[in-house]
Amino acid sequence: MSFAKQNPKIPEGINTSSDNPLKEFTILLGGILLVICAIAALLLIFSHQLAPHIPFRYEQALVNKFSELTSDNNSTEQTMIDAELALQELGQQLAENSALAPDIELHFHLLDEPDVPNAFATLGGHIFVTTGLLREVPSENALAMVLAHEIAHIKFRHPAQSISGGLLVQLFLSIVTGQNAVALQGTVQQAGIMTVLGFSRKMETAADRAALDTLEQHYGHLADAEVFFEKVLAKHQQASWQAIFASHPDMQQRIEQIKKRTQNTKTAATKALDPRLSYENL
Amino acid sequence: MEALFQIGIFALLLGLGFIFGRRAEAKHYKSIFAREDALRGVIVSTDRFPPVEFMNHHSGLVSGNVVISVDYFKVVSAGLRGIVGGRIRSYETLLDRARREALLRMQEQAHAAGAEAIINTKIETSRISGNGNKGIASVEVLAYGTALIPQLAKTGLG
Repeated sequence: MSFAKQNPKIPEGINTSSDNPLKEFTILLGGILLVICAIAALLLIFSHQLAPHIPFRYEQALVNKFSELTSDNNSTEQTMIDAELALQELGQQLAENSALAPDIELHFHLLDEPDVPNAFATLGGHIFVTTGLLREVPSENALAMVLAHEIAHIKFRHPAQSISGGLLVQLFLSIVTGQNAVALQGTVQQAGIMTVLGFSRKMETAADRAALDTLEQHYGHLADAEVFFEKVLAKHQQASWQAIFASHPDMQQRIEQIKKRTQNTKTAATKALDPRLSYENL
Repeated sequence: MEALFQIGIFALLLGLGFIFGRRAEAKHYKSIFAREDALRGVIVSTDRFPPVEFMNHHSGLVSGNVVISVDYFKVVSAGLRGIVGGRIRSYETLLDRARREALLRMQEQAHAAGAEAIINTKIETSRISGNGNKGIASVEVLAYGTALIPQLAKTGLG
């Protein structure tokens, strides 16, 4: 056994390739981006069908920080805290009769805006009621109708649906890029979590129907169910009202539908509003 | 706007990584080819025992090691490859360079000691990463073996 005179020259290109790395990079990046864009486009197109299937806790994670903010802001006066608590109690009672999915959590907030009677449901199961609305409702039943209506929106995942295109794409991208949802909050807040989301007429009608079912189950009758909506209509000429209820189209038609149902059921005495919720005390 | 800024930084790092990484690689390969030719006389073998004509040589440990870092472009390229699978070509040249450089350094040490051959050559590699998944990975390659030095040669080894 003996060695060769010197080390042999080994041909190049066995362990490596001489291809320009830029070529591989471009093909990979282009291909992957194309697939991501295609999926995002599909999600946008089918967003309405897909939105109700987004896990509710994703939606919650998206707005978590925001809810901390509001609960801090609101707890300034004791009467407001008490009123919000009463609102929570009533809301939770109604929620029990709303056949919600088990993972859905509801949060009720009272906004100190005495001149704007309004209630709306947004992402993450947050329902906002203004003090101005409390002034307009004559009984607990009338308030319950409004609350049940907003609960129904959450139940059907309407908030997710109405911003679902953007939300789905965001969620998808956050999964792809490995960022958590918290990092995307900025974008969602820009999209306007505090603003009234535009629900379609179909959504409103579905929410009305579900709300009436809830009321019937909770109280056993539908007295005062249409009161708040009627009041809204009565003042509809005023500009400030119009702006608020622009997202609630065909008010007249909706009231008629509600009335049709209330007429068919037996009437009974309405329940008085919880004193903590009466407008004079706030 | 913030996203645009981030994309800008990303593209800048990518470009820098590509330009400098590629220049360093070309330069390194040039040097490897030249030195491999120059040190062809120092025979590298994996045999465990010396041939008969080397029986009376002195012997001593020689080693060469190198640490090579990947650049940003290679990391991103490999990351993309990680999604679809396949050969990570960008890392292949890196490891090829590291292995050959380590062997060359071992040969240089042996040459300085007047050795004619190195037997029982082994190559080892280990990952150097200080901070978990973050930061850019680097790899160490160590080559070591037994240098065979003629009796006449003045040597610091053996």
